[in-house]
Amino acid sequence: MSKRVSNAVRYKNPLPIHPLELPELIIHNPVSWVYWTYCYITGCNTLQHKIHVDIVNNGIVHIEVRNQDDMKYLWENGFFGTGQLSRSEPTWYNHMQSRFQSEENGTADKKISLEQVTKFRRQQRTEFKKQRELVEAKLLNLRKKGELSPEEETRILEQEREKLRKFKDDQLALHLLKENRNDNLEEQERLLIQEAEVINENGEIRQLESLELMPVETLFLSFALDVLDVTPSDFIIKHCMDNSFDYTDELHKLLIQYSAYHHYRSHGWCVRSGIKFGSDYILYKRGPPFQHADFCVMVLDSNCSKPYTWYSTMARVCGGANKTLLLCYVERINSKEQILQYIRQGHISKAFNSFTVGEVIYKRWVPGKNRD
Amino acid sequence: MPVTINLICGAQEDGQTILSPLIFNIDDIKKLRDVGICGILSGTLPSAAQQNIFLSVPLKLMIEEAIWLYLNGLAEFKVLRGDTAHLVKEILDRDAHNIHVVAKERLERSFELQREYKREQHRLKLERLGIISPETSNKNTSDQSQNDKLLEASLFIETPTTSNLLNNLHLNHENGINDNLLHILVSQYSNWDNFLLFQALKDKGYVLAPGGRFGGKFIAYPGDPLRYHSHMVVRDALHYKDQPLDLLELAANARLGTAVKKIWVIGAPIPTNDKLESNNIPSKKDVSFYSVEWAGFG
Repeated sequence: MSKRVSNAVRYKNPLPIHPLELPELIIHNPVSWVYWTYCYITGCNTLQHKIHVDIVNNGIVHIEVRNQDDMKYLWENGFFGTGQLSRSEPTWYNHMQSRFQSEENGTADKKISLEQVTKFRRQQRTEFKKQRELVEAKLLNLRKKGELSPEEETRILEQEREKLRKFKDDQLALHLLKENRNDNLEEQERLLIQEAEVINENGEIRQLESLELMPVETLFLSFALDVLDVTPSDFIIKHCMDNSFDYTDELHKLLIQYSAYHHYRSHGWCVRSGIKFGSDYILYKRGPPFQHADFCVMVLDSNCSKPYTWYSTMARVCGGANKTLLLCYVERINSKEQILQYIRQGHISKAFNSFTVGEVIYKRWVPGKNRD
Repeated sequence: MPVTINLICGAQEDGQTILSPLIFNIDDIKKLRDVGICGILSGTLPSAAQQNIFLSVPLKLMIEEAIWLYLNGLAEFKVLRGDTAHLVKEILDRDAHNIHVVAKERLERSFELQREYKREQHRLKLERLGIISPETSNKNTSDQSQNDKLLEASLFIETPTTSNLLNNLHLNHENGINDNLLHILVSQYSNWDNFLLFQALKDKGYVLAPGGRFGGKFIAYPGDPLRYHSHMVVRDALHYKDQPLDLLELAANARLGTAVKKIWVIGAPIPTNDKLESNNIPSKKDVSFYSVEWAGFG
């Protein structure tokens, strides 16, 4: 990407299937009617080629998209999958490239990846904390000696606070100056070794990253949208049931998880894994680059009842991240045998229709904070 | 002198008994604080029922605290009130004969005391009336049998207003009721592994409190809670060799713990190959702990 493309343009489409683009229909020009009709009939919004997924099943199912363009396509059209070496968007290749370029040119590249920003911020925080610890230890020492009058203590405390504040400001100023050239020698060496594996004989960077899809994403992309080169029933039977026709707990879990996933996707939410917050999903209004997620979703059986600590823990974790905890209860309305039969016959939509979804918001209510 | 832990019993529909260990004596509470048992004050004033920060006696103990105190000989149990029929029944099943003997002995003794007293009174009365002289008074009189019948008829049987069985039984019965209460405490409230965690942390000098606020079983303070912030949130005992740990739970708790500057701790007794041991309640076992922290935060 030479020029920065605005997010609104880059993420124009919320799903990997786009609406048909029909030519303009001019009422008083019959030729345009014919052309419009032709386009309408022949127009097709299925993909040119189905996206290939590699499924590795060694006890744990890994679903990977390895084609560079497909990875980008799935990310840009609905934020599907996670880059295995990146935070979420598969940007590892780009980082490597920009880093190599900046090293070659010897000039500080203005473009820093999000991961680098985070890393730098964390380093700063650790340094700041170390300084703060020193100050606290010093105060404690003085207090232990007992030769500290209250006035003197406040004076020293104020002095040290001022120092810390200055330290923080300096940090920020330095950050603006030196950007990311703060690595020491040891770090450099370690990186060199890593980089040796990354570069091929021609001196080009090897793409080591692939896009990993969650099982529910795979199901959605094959069942609801039909853009992957696997069929949903194949996927379920081969990889989630190991070819045995039992209604196992794992199968049940997949079915209710998918029901919830499909439910939110079809209501326009961008659904991504909520593992960071200890929940099943997090819901974005549009997607990760636009704003923070608003909701954490826990998918539960309709008759599920957990100990109170569980609810309070979840609510606290979500509350701490400024999200709302959504308990999504999925109820099975057909018998297990019936559902198994649907899957065996390939009536996947009937199998998923055997579930209904209802949700409850769980919120910690604080009388002092909820007056407005 | 052991402190007294009062147990309030409440029967549930499914036949289980709930026991709440409470302490009312302020001196006892002070004593317990010195050994690192803090409990939670739970009494409110009737005139200010809404206030919930400055609470008063009774001090409510965690079950583990009650068990620990009892096993270390620092406390004894006393059933305060509540539906005790369930408790009594178990004791009766086991100790009916002994209880009968004790009750009978006690009654006989009371009769004997009454008889002695009445004979003495009778003798004094006769002396006062001049019917018998003080010298002969100690000798048996001829109508002894007649008098005895009257005497027996006049003896009282006391109907107690409180249960001797529950209040005093343990004195005669080698702490039978205390052990029984301990048994109920262990089996219905907590599991023994949690107690072993409690004990192990207590031995290391930590003060423990209920950890519901932070999503754990206990929170552990390095000393008195008034002096320190807690350092750890301890999860229910988990046999990590064969019990699974939910990944979402791991993520959520590590996140919560780190956000409140605590370490999330998983612990369990080290499994032994000794199968026989599991039948008895093991008193002391080695416990191992693991801690989980969220590495990149902030």
